[in-house]
Amino acid sequence: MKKQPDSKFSRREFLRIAGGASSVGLLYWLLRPAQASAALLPPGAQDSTIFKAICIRCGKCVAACEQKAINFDEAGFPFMDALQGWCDFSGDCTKACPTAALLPFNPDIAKIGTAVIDTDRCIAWNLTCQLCCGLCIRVCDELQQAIYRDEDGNPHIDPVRCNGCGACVTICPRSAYADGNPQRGKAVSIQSVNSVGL
Amino acid sequence: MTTRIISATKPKRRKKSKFQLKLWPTVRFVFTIGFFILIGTDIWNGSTCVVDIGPVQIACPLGVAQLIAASRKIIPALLVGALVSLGLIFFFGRAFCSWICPGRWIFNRGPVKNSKPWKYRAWVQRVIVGGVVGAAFVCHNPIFCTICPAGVVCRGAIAAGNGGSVLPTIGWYTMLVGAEWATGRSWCRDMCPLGAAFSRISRWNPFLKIRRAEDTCIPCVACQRACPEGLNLSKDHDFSTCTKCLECIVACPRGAVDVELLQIN
Repeated sequence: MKKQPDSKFSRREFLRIAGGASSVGLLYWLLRPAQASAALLPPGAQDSTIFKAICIRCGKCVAACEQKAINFDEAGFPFMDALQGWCDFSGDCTKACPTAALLPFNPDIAKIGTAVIDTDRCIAWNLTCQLCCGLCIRVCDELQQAIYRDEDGNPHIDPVRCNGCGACVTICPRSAYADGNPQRGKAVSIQSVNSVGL
Repeated sequence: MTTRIISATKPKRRKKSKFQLKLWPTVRFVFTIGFFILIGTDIWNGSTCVVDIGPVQIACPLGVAQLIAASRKIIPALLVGALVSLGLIFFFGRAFCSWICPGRWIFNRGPVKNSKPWKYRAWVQRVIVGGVVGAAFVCHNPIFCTICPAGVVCRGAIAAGNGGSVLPTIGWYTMLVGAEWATGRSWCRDMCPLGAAFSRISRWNPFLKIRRAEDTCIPCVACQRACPEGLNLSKDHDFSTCTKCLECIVACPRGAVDVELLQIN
């Protein structure tokens, strides 16, 4: 009878342990702490702790949004993705929500966040002409009139009027994927209300 | 020798059992794909977590239990939806696991080792379900929903239909396959909390039960090899974990598997 090599560590064992370790690593990567900037929740959401407790992650709000303004994060929670679309405050997501995660809101006073212009990236800020670009101003004039030009032609955002709908982010012609970071490529981004301090 | 004697006394094998169809796996696959196409193209607004069919809302019972545990709130409409799905489990048993859940096609393929259900399986299932709900209570978050194989694919389908990314879906599935590989156990049979919860409930399911034809069945292990749950029609008595995938009908060489529409003892 052929003698079996009595190694304590067979290849199968090794593969099994390697598979387990890599799956644990992947689990950690997927469950890693959220980034410092809190994700923007859809309008009608309460604060993020309550929202995460009560959201069943069924995805109905994502499917219901006609503007495609809501997207999934890695854990499956919905967040406002202005790179895809902007919020028209129609309330379709709150109507679709089967739980109390998204509550009905008043579209006149609802606020998702505040737009902030990155002056290093903005085309109008970096050129001396008075009427360059201004796509965000043009689109915002039809909605909230929250973006205005100063005398140099640079756009500014009125944080009181801005309701964070994200139309300016959607239309901003700067590449969405500069530096490999989709959040930083655009010259304007929506910051959650708490981090701005309003 | 005994088998030979038995087979001599048994009648010749039947050509077909009542529900014989070699295409059952294909039918199931088309059913699954069709469901997710309906979800992804928003023809049905919903997912396996919550779906509207007409005025009725069907909700995942495990998801609702986790939601109540996590948020300490009771949402009446969802509770009714969970009861509706419990009713569906009463009528169709664990059919969700093999007809809708896409994990069935990714985990657990082919014959599985250690397929004999172990002694304390019912208690293991209760502990899994209780642990998932307890984890939701402790973390204030329906944790299992993050990796739920059915929900993850629903989110992937909805995201794909709305211009989002399917990478999280692929990532979670890679993790689950890795876990299955590392433990050497089947996800659907031994680990899935959804399957555990459904098989605890489907004890009371008297409809659409598989049954061996006493006259033609020679006790063999063809059905056990084909069954992803490791059930053996000639040995086992408790078919509450049966997912109604009908693989045993396809596998049985003698056509000795019947489906009983209503089984009352």
